[in-house]
Amino acid sequence: MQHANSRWKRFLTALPEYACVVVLLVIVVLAGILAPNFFTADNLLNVLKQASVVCVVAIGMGCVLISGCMDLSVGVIMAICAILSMTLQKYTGDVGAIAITLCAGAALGLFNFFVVYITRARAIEIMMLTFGLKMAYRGLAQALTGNVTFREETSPFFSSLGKGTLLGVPTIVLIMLGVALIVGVIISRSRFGREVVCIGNNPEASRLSGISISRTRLKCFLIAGLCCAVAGILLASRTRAVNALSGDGYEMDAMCGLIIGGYAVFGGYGSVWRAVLGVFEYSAIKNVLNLLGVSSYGQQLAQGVILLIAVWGDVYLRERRAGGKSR
Amino acid sequence: MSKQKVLAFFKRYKSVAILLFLLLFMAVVKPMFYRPAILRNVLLKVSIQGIIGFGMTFALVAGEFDMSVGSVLTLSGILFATLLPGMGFFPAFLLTMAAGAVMGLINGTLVARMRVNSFIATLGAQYIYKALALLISGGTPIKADNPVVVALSEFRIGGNTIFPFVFLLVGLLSAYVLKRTRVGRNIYATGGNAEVTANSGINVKAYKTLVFVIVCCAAAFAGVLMTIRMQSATTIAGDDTSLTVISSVIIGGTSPAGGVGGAFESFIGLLIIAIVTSSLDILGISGYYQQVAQGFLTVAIIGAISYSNYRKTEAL
Repeated sequence: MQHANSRWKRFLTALPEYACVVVLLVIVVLAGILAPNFFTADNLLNVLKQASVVCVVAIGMGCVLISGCMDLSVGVIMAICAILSMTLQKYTGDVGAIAITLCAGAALGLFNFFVVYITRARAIEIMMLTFGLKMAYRGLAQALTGNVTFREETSPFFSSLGKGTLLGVPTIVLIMLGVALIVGVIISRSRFGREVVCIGNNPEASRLSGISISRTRLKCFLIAGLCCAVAGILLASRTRAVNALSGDGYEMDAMCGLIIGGYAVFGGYGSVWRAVLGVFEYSAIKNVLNLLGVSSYGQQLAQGVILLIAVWGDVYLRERRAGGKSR
Repeated sequence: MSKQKVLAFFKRYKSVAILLFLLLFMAVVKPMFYRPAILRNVLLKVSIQGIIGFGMTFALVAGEFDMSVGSVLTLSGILFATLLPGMGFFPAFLLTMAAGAVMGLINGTLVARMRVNSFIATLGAQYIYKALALLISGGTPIKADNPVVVALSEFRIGGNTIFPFVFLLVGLLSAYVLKRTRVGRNIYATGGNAEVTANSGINVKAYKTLVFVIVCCAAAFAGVLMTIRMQSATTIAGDDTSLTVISSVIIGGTSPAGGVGGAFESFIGLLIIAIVTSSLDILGISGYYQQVAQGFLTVAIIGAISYSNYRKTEAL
C-alpha cells in the first residue's frame, strides 16, 4: 500500500513534465469521437504542413523563452524575411536571397537583444519592449512596401522548399525537423544549452558561477532571428504571396504551442521536442475545430481559451510540484 | 515659488517637463497647433482613451497589467449598440457596465486567485473578448441611433463635446479614491509590497481583483462613450488602445512595478501621448510611420524606466 502510494506520488510529480503527452492523448480521443475524418492521411499531412512554419518560429522563440526572455516580435520578423526572400531572388538568385534573408533575420534578432541589453530590462519589461518593437517593425514594413502583396514567380528550387516532397514526405516538414534537430542538439547536448537553462532558472546564481548572461542571451536571440528567417523563407515558398501583415499573430500561435508543450512562461524549462509537439497539438485543435465547422471568430475564441487554460495549467502544476507554495 | 521648490517639483514630476517641452516645440515648429479647433481635437482624442488610462492607473499602482482593455472597449461598445434598440438607453448602459465588471472579475480571478501572470492572462482574455465582439456583431459595424445617444453625441458645452468633461470628472474621482480613501491606500500598499501587505491583514487578492474590475469598468464606460460619439460601434474600435493607454500611464510616471504614481501623473502622460500623436498628424506623418513612432516611443519609455529601475537596484 505504502509502495503504491509513493508510486502514485511519483507519477503525480512527474505529470507536469508530461502534461503535453496527456494533452495529445486527449486530443486524439476527442478528435476520434467528434471528427473521425481527422485521421485521414491527407488531413494529418495537412496539419503537419500547416504547423511547420509556426513550429520553426516556436523553436527559435523557445530558446529565448528558456533563457528567461521573451520576443513578441518574431511574427513580424518572419514577415519581413518572407518579403525579402521573395523579392530578392529575382536579382540575386536562390542562394543569395536565402543568405541575405538569414542575415536580415539574424540582424533583427540581434537588434532586439541590443534593445533588451542596453535597457537592462527584466521579465515583463522585455515583453513590453518587444511588443513595442513589433509595432515599429510592422509599421516600417507596411510603410516601405506600401502594404502591397508580393506575388513573384519563384524558381523551381525555391518553390520546392515549401511545396515539394522528398521521398513522399513534404520538404517543409523535413526542413522543420532539420531545424528542430539542430537547435535540439544545441539546447540539450551542448554547454551553451545548459547555460541557457541555467540563466533562465536563476540569472543571479548563473552570473555568480561565471556564466555571461548577456552573451548567452545574445546567442538565443540570434537563434530566434535565424529561425524566423527560415520560417519566412518557408512561408514565402509555400504561399507564394506575402505582405507586411503575413505573420500577424504567429507569435501568439508559437507562444500557445510552447506553453502547451510545457515551456515555463518565465524561463528555465523547455526542450525542442516540447515546442514541436506543442505546436502540433495546437494546430491539431485548430484543425479539429475547422473540421467541425467552427467559424473563424469561434476559433479565435478557442485560441484565447486554450492559451488561458495552458498558462493556468502551467502555474497550477508547477505550484503543486513545489509543494503548494505560491510563486 | 523659490527655485529649489520648482526644481523639486520637476524632479518629482519629470513628465511635466516633457509636456512643457512638447508644447514649446510645437509652438516653435507649428504654431498652427494652438488653434482652438486643434486643441479641442486633442482633448477629444485624449478623453475616451484617458478614461481607461485612469482605470489602468489603479491596475499599475497595484502592480498589475491589463492588456485586454482594448477588447473590453470593443466588446462593450458592440454590446451597448446591440442592446440599445431593444431596451432603451439606461438599461443598456447599466447592463454594459455590468458586463464590464464581469470581464474585470474574470481577469482578476485569473490573476489573483489562479495566479496567472497578468500580462499573459489578459493577453489571452483579449482574444476571447474580441472574438465575442465579432461573434455578436458578425464583424459588421452596428448603428446606434437612439435619440438619447444622438442628443448626447451632439450636445456642446461652449463648443466642446461632453467627453472632455466626463474625462476630467473620472480623473478627479480616481485621484480622490487613490489618494484620499482607505481603498486607495490599500491599493498602493498592495502594489508596493504584496507580501508585507498580506501579512498586515489586508486582503491582497481582493484588492488585486478589485483593480481589474475598476479598469474593465472604465474600459466598458469608454466603449459606451465611443459608441455614443460615433453613433455606431465597430469591432476595430479598441484595437490599439491597450498599448497606447499603458504607455501613456507609464510615461506619466506610474511605475509598472507597482506602488508608485497616481491620477495626476496619468493625466500628464495621457496629454503627452495625445499631443505627440496629434503633432504627428499635423506634421503630415502617415499612419504607418505613426505606428513606427508609437512603437519606438513605447520602447524608449519602457527602456528608460527599466534602466532607471536597474540603476536603483544597483545602488542598493
